Amino acid sequence: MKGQREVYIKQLTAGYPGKPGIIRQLTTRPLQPGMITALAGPNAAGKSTLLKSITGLIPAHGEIIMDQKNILAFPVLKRAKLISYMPQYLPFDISLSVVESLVASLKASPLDQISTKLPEVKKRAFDLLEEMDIMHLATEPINNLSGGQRQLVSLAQAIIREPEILLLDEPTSALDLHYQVAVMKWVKQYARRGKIILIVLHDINMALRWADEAILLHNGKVYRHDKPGAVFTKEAIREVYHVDADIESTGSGHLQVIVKDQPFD
Amino acid sequence: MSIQRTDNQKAERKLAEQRYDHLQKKRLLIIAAITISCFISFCFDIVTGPSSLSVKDVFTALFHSSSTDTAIDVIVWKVRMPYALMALLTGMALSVAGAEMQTILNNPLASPFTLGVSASATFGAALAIVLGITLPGISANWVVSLNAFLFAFGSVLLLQAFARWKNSGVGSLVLFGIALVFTFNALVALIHYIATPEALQQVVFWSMGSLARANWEKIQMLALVIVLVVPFTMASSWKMTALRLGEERAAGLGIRVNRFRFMSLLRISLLAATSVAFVGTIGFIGLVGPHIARMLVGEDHRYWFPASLVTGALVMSLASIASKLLVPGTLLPVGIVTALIGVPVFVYLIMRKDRQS
Ligand SMILES: Nc1ncnc2c1ncn2[C@@H]1O[C@H](COP(=O)(O)OP(=O)(O)O)[C@@H](O)[C@H]1O
Ligand SMILES: [Mg+2]
Repeated sequence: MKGQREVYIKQLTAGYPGKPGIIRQLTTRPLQPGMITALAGPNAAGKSTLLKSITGLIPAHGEIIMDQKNILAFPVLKRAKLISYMPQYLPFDISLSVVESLVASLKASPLDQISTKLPEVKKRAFDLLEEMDIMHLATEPINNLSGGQRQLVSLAQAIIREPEILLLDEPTSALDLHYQVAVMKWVKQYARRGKIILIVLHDINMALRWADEAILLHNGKVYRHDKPGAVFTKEAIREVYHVDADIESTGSGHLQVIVKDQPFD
Repeated sequence: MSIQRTDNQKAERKLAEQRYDHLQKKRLLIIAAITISCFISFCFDIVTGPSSLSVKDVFTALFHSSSTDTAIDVIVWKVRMPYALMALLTGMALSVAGAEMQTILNNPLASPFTLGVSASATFGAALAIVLGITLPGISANWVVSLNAFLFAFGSVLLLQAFARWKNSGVGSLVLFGIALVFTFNALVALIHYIATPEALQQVVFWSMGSLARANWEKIQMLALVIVLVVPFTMASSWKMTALRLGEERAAGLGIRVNRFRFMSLLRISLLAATSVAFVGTIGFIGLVGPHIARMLVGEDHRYWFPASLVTGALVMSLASIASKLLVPGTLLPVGIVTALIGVPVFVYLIMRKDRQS
């Protein structure tokens, strides 16, 4: 059984009309169920593009293998059932309350629509709000939320369908320390249910602190895919980010990136 | 301590659930209230008019038509009723079309009128009349509406292509729509020159937007289109709501967004074109109706679509009454009245958009 549900990406190429090959022949090691894999890399490295191509939002060539089957060849619905993607940018000016948005996220799916009755959907929405400790936002209009609160709600929208593969695009970028920790704890808990999680983290220290593995993306390719401590080395950071930094071990045994004093020129 | 917290949580959840249920009920009540207002407005619409009939006369004509004298009968059944009914129906059609457009194009300024769909339908209709296009076995009304539909559909396809090409800048889409309005208005003006006097009269009437030519055949046709199209609109509610959460989110749910959009554009064209073919270009209902509905019930499309439907009908019905009362002794084209209501709303929406970006 072991290794059955793991997912790995083989020779994946994806891009946009007029801009092919943002992701080029990308191959990863297996992503294990129950593990958080951090996806890092400089701006425009192709992190969002990679997540979108896995989700099926943009066309891609190559293979994403799960259970010896190529997910890329799945019909739209089957793929949608398996994967949920939380976009980096959230639309604004929406006159919906938080619960309404959650209910719609579930009911709008052609799959769930048939199988799930409204009271059941409602219950799941409130269960999730309870688990995520944001019950107080339930009937707030999304428009009135702060940036961080929106991100939490967006995360909830992605999770409510309980996908096997959860792709999160910078879910913590607008969050204060409290909610950063809350979200990462929550994601970890979700992973422990045997789910596969790929999460774009801008902050390398967060990747070092929370992720089980990390992928460092550079020019549309995997620069390194390993344990976070083995990925974010001084050399890698210099080569990929062009920044001189030290990696230090904290008192509690966690690694941390400390940027060196930079010369001005 | 931890039990205390759980109790608190339970209480908080219960409260939140109650608030949510309450909100849902409130939305239904609002829709019901607007619907009742529609009925009341409709009655007023029948009662008001140049030939002063008493309320009693009208009601006798409506409910015991045999016992009243025929002059009143004719006024009520041949003039007032079609006029008032047509107001309700065009209000519904344009408002629902506007609501669908706003979601599909992700633009609160979208409506059949503001983006040139009505103008192109007008051109299509005018063309059919002036060229005297006929199809064997099909009534002239249908041919005119069919051509209006073809042009309306062409213009929404153009709008969609533009929105996708420019990646949906809210402002640029509106400007493109206005360019369409100018273009088709110019083309209609061109038709004025080549039209025969009889055809010209009809074409001018379109450009004004008026309920004055309502008759039972047109009412039946528009009602038929609404009855056939709106259920599909309603059936799309969940997906539409999801689309408001972002196209990527919707696509990630397994919605085939392009196909979904195309079907919606088809519905929009049918609704807008049919009403334009019969009453001409009546502006801003597709903007004002959905806007008021959104303020009242939010954007859960299960409520927003029906709310837009009845709000559009109500606004149009009130405009119809106003068109008879504003200038005593004169029946204004109703399009003038809706523009008076609509332009301020349009400007307000533009200013609000500006502040956000
Ligand atoms: N919709 C798009 N159309 C064309 N090019 C795009 C689009 N989105 C992103 N790109 C380009 O793809 C590259 C990678 O972008 P992205 O995946 O968003 O980077 P990251 O998320 O790593 O910051 C960038 O050069 C960007 O300009
Ligand atoms: Mg990105």
